Amino acid sequence: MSAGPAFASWLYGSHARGDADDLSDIDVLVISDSVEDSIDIEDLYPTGRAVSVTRYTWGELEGMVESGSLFLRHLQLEGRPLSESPPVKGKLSAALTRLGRYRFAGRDVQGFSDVLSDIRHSLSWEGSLVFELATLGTVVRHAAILGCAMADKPCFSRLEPVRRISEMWAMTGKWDSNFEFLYRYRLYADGRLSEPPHSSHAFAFHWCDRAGELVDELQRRLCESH
Amino acid sequence: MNRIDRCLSQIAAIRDVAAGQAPPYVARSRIGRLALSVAALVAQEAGLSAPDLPRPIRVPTGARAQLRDLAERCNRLSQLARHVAQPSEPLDERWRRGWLQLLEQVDRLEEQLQSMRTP
Repeated sequence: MSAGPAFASWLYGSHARGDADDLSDIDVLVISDSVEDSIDIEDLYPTGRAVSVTRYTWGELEGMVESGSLFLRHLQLEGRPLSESPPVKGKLSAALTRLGRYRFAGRDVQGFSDVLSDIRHSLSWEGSLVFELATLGTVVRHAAILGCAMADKPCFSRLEPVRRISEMWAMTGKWDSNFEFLYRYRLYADGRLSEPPHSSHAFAFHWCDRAGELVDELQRRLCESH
Repeated sequence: MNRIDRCLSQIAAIRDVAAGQAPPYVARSRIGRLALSVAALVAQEAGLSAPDLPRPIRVPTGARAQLRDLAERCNRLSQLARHVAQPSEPLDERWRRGWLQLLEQVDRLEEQLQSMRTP
């Protein structure tokens, strides 16, 4: 590893929580002065498996603290340091104690709504069913993560946020088992499954409707909270 | 709508994000959709089967230069999009800087597509 950059690297996600399975990737965050800094993750966390690395700068970290970033909330909840160079030891932990309320919930809800509209449009215009289902799985999970955070019950695992929010908000239908199936498209898109499951446009539109219900509920609760 | 027109309309949808008419969250999936459409166009022209996901486009040796350029441009755009829009959340500052570069790539991709459209 090069000696230069002042960096912190943290493990988060399923491997940090201890609930990793065969489909889990290894999530590592690296914060340094520049996202171009050369930091060898294999030295920090030698697993022999593929590592998904997210890189931010210290300047970006400050902006994320101010906005109450959900990603930082995720780290606060379950992240743990892998390695921190002496000049910045404890800097990320200290920043996480200053994390405020999330400021972009309204923008996110609008984003979810726009993506759902794009998916419907694409499905009607012979778009790729596999791509749209993978996108849909991501939107549902992100919307559920936001809902859990808004309800002060933050949760960031693969399937639990959807189970939790459907239970808390008494959403209709069998969200759990169906969402697990839907999310397999995301796993396939990420290269974590070799084949996509078989599905249909009817399944995709069905999930567009469910996701729409979830986004409407987020919107309603957001308006109430304001 | 033919494949080139579809790519062009997807480029317009990406510009809506840059113009603030859609939140940054939607950019990643719109760029993915464009990459997929360009890959399908290249596949059609090169006699290959269309992909189901936006993966790096590999043009067969011997394919015409126009297709190779198109694939290269699209691959560069996808790579840039991965950096600008991290999976966890977009970052305003990185977004502002990254979008300028990304839009340059979009402009060039649009020019290439337009040139393929003209007889």
